[in-house]
Amino acid sequence: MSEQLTRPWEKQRDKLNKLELLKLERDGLEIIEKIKQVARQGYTAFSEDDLTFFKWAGIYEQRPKGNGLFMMRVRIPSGVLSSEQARTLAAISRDYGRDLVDVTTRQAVQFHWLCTECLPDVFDRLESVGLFSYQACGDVPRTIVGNPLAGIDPHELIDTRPIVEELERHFLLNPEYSNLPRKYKTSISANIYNTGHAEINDLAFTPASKEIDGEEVIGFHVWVGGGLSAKPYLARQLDLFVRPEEVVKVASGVTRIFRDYGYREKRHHARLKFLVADWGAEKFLAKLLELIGPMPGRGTDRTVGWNAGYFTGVHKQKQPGLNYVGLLLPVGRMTADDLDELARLADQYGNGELRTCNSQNILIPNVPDEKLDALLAEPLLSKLTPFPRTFIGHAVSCTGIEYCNLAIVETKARMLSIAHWLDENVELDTPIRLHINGCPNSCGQQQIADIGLQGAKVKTENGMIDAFDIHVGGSLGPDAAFNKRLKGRVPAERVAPVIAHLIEYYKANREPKEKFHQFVRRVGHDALQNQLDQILATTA
Amino acid sequence: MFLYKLEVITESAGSYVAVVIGESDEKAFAYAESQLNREYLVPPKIHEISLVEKKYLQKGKGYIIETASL
Repeated sequence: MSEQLTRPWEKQRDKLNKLELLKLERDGLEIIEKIKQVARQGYTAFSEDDLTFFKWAGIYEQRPKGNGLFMMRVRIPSGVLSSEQARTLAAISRDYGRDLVDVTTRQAVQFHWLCTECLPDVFDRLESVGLFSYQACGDVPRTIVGNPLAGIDPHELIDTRPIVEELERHFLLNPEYSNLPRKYKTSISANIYNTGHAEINDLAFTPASKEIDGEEVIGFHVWVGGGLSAKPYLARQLDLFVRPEEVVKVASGVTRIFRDYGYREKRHHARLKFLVADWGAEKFLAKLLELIGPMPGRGTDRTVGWNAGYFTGVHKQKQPGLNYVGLLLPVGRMTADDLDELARLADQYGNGELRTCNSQNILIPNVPDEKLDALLAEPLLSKLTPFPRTFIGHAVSCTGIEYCNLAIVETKARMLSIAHWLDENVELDTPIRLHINGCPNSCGQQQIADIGLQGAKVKTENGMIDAFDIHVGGSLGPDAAFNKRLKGRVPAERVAPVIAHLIEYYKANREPKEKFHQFVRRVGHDALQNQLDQILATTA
Repeated sequence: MFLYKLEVITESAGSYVAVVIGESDEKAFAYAESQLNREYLVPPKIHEISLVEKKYLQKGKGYIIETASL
């Protein structure tokens, strides 16, 4: 706290942007209390500056701005959700959010349509079950992404739930971290398939081991400076091995470096990735060790591949006799009734738990073998199926123009129609991950997709139409790289057939077991570009 | 008000990026075409014009446009 009050960046006020100057005048988290006190008076009770700080409470103005309606994001650390919490979320959605519940690409939950007057009641309801929208947005540590299978995962080195909980308690409503230069995203996973999407977080802990004093110790490697947005950047690994009990110490050190040395002159040049790019991993590590004391160097990376968060189907847990059942939430959206019913199923067939995934899906853990058949026969599972077809089962979408002020095009319904068309018309034995973004920002994480779509509007003789740039070849994990754009904007109604053509080309020319992103990198971007050029020249 | 970025491909005069201020997506297209036309005695025919990004209009907002040469 004393260090926070020192605020080294305050010495050079001429180097601070407008919001930074405002952040010196008031702590962003104070808005929570003000909303509780004033919101019942309505939207006009808040100043423009107040509304700027609503993000610290996890609230954004919904499109169109100025109408007094809000999107609220709720933190779900590592995606772990109890049935009681799920029912509370469902009730909020039903009472205030027009029955919509969205699961995000960082395992959080989002409501839309919330009015100003309802916010205090929503805060109270969330708090009563240990949920918080606080710090789900704003220049603060956001919800901690993690392994949705933590504690039940045959492919995890250790159960990361206690670590995530401890760090969540450390970060949440802590004034030491309420004034960071920009948003700050953390990932913790001990799954060997990188379920935490480490490389696109500001700070990430990935599974590792190291022989210390003749004994193999399980712990983590540390990555810093990743992030997507309009300028995507993969995180860099530090030469550091972290025991599980030291995660909070390391996270605290990295976050204090960001707070005290991160850039505050320009908002678009403030994420941790810019500091890491300038300093390099070695200088960053030296500063970190100066703060937290000596630490052992890196051990052995235990990440062996990448699962992008897809767990649909029935799978054995590490506990004998127990299973988790992964369900599809098409493009991450469900109704309040769906969520209520999921809570009932979790109670009746599992241990009353649900897990949200960064693929915008959900799973029911801890289902005994003898209850599986009955669960699979439940009517809800014909809607939120555990056995989706290939394309809809691997489709991710941002919010789009429906609610987002900066989106150029509609995305969720568009992705549904593209995925359904592909499922009807393309046979495929290897999943291809499709992501869609409604603008150049990255809420839909299109840069990590096998095939990413970025929306634009094109003027034609018949008026404005939605169109998309197609990007190919993205992945995370051991061969992490962002996808690259193919030249040639594709009208929305032609996107599905164009993708089908690219997939047929992949099917005809791939090597055994070669994934789409591997294929793109082997044959080269130009080969895919030639295919797109041919399609655009010949397809009506 | 938004600060819009549009990409314009003409049939005979190359490609451009237009940055315009507008109150709606529709108006942004019209303003971009108008700005392009002001550059020519005989305006080139537009092959494709696309709206690719928009930002809130605030002091300091802008776009960096990559060019082959200056």
